[in-house]
Amino acid sequence: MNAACIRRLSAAAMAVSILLYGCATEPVTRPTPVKEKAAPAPSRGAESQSTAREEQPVPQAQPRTMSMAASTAAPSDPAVVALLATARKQAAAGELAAAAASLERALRIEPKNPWTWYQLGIVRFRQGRLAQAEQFARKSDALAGANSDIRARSWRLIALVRESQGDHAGARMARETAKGLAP
Amino acid sequence: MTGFKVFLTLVVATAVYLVYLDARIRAEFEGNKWALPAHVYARPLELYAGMSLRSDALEAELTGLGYRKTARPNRPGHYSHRGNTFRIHTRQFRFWDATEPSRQVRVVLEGNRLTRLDGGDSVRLEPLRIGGIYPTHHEDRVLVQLKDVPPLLPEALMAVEDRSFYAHPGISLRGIGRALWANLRAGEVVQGGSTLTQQLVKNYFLSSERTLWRKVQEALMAVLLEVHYSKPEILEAYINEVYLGQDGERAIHGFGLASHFYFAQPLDELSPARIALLVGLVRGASYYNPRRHPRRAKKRRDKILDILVSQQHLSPETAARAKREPIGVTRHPPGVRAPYPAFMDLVRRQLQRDYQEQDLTSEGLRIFTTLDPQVQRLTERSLTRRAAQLEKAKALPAGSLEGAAIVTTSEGGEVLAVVGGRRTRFAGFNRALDATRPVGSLIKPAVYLTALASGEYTLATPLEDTTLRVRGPDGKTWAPRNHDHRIHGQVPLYVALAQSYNLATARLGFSVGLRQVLNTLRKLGVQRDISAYPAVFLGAVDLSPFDVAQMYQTLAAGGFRTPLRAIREVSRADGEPLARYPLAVEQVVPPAEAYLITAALQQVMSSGTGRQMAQRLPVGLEPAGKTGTTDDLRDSWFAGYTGDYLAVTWLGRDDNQPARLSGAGGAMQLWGDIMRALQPRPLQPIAPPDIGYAWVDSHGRLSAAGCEDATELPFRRGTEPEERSPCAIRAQTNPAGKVADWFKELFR
Repeated sequence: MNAACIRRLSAAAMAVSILLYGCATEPVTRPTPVKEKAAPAPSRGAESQSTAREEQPVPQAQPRTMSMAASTAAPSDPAVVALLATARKQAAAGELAAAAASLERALRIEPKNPWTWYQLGIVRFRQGRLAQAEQFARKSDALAGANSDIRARSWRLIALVRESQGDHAGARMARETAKGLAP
Repeated sequence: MTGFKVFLTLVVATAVYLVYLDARIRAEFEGNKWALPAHVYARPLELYAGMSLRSDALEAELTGLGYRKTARPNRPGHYSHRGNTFRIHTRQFRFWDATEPSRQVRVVLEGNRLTRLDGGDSVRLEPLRIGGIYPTHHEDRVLVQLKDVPPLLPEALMAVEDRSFYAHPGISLRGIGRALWANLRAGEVVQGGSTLTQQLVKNYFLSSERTLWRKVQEALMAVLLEVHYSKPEILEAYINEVYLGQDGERAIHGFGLASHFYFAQPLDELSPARIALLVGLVRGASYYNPRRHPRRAKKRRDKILDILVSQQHLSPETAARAKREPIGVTRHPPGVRAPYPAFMDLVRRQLQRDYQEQDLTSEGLRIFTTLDPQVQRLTERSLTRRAAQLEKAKALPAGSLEGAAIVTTSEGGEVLAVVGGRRTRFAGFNRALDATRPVGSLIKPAVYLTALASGEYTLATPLEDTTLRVRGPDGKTWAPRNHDHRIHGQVPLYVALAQSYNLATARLGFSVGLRQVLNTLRKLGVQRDISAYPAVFLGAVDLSPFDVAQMYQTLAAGGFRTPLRAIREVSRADGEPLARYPLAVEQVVPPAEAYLITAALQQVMSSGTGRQMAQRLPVGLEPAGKTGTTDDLRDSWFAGYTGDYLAVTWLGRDDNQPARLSGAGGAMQLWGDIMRALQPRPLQPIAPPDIGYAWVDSHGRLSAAGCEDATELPFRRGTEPEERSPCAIRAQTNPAGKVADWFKELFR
């Protein structure tokens, strides 16, 4: 079953349930863009630039459906996976600056990956850079889209930061936001 | 008695003179020895499967790094290219965070993508050196340490120039005698009598006069030098100091630099033949110039090879093989070693915040930057071509139209390219950083963002694009006009921004407040002082392209202000990490508003003043952008971003005369050239959970899919327009039809 098929089936199921409830509102979330997987272009000889451009997996106007949780928690690009593993090892060894450098390398390859931003937030927290830790967590929250798992983790990190800063009210709010996302 | 007094005076005078010479030679030696200029590197090319990479770009990077193309790359610094496969034997390099070992990798490029990488999940090539930071009185150097130099080099120097180097005290009578004898036998000068130490002194005080007195001075200083410094120190200084060639106005000193200059290779990769050739240059860099006098150079090289055999530094077989090699110099000297002055300028300024000039020019620091040479070159090419074309098209005086461009990564805020003018190789006026010009309509997103943040406006809110006359506190009247000199009446907010209507914008500005708009500009990252006048709403604000880039960076990163960085890390000379400039972000615009303003800027490009670009860019790219034009068409601006890049362009005249270019007609075309070459990813921001979509017509009324004149726009949930357009009403009274349309959409 490919993604398009899943999308269609779920859309049909949703349509039926909405009709049953007599609700006329349309599902509205702009679909979370499917993570950029590098689809290798078929090799050709002298390829004109415009042909190569059109072969990029550029989506046309998307139907306005509820998105499937398109981004899983962890990225699947092998280069990014390897760098995240390196970062994990470096962080475990206490080399936090090096771990941050590895994560930034991963971000250059996949700039919008929420998991990587989240990991960077954790490193910053461990480095004692609390303000930045919260900001990276907000960034991962903003990029997570429908992925409530990452969003919940991000808000839990924010709660941790605020607790460390003595902002108990703020920490409570953040924890509740996290709970609301992933009970 | 007088005889004795004269003698005493002479002794004292000599002593004083010796002290003076001593001080001079030591100052020179230590001034040169200890001044290690900083090396500045571009970003390392990181190879990974799936990246977009063109074959010619990879080739250019390897060539720039001095990699040699061979059939079988079995040594570091070599690569092969057959069909779509590259085999690269990388060099080891100590990065800030780790040492990347030398590796053999296989890379397959298909189309414009790297589809296969054997040899690692990702491979970092060493970064390209793009310049150095030198004390003002110094020239370019590639300093090498004696321990890193191929042993054949000092052996050859001594064998040819100074056989008793380790024995003599600075001058060598044996050497002089030997030289005299050899010269007499040859009937011409084939050997100089100077020791390496004397030659080093001569290099320090290169003077045209070859008088006896000068020779005596040099001899004395050579002896004094030997008193203070060890043989290895002197040898190392010699290797780094000796004059080996000329590149226009630039002198080539030292074997490290000479190796690059003649062979485009680092010194430790040179074959014995090439080492011999360089040693031959010591005696006469212009006389034995291998590019001008290849046969002479080859003869001298072969002679040196013979000497090396006779002194038993080389086996006869190796020497014979070496003699069969062609001289191997590159046809043209390598390009200027600091080819990106505008970017280097930015690097220096960012460094000066944290380092003293002294540290920068004497510690041998290694500075790793964000520059992407491929992006830089394509940006430069685009600017020079487009400026020339527009200048002719607008019948402007040749050379009068100038420009600037900056390209950054949209999420990380790393500066990939800085172009300060059409003459890219010259360190002239850096327009990208220093040309502050009125930004015109480029300021408008700040006004609209302020409005959206106030909670009282949506993208569909009707605005009045009608005549405006305001009397200022000084009694003067401000009466702005639209670019088309027309009145458009009531228009939805998004149309006012897309079409860049001045009247609607000015009215909106007054409505939300000047102070609020200035506040928004600060939040977006504009740091320059701005005079608080209503004309700010229409861009009577002087900013540099760099300032504009910082402002739009915040929008491109979804409301997270990301200070633009040109430097990633700094290490010490030995590779020990010193400082990192980490990625830092700050959420200054809430996600909903950031999303809305980007959607509005996408409307600029799809239906507004930037719609012409749609023809030149791939379908589905959906970039966001804003055109900027100033009074009398003096400045042509454009700022725009895609999924991964942000670029700001400016065109205008230094003498501030009209350039006859609108934003769309000038700077936007340049932006398009750059973006086409970059092959960017589509802009698809993630919608925050409190954002929903609705169809809206050109009057700002709620419409429906399939209705004529309807655009789908984002809104904070619950703020969608309430008034329905006639088409929407019709659609609602036909529920079956509406649902059918909806189904049709789902399965499209």
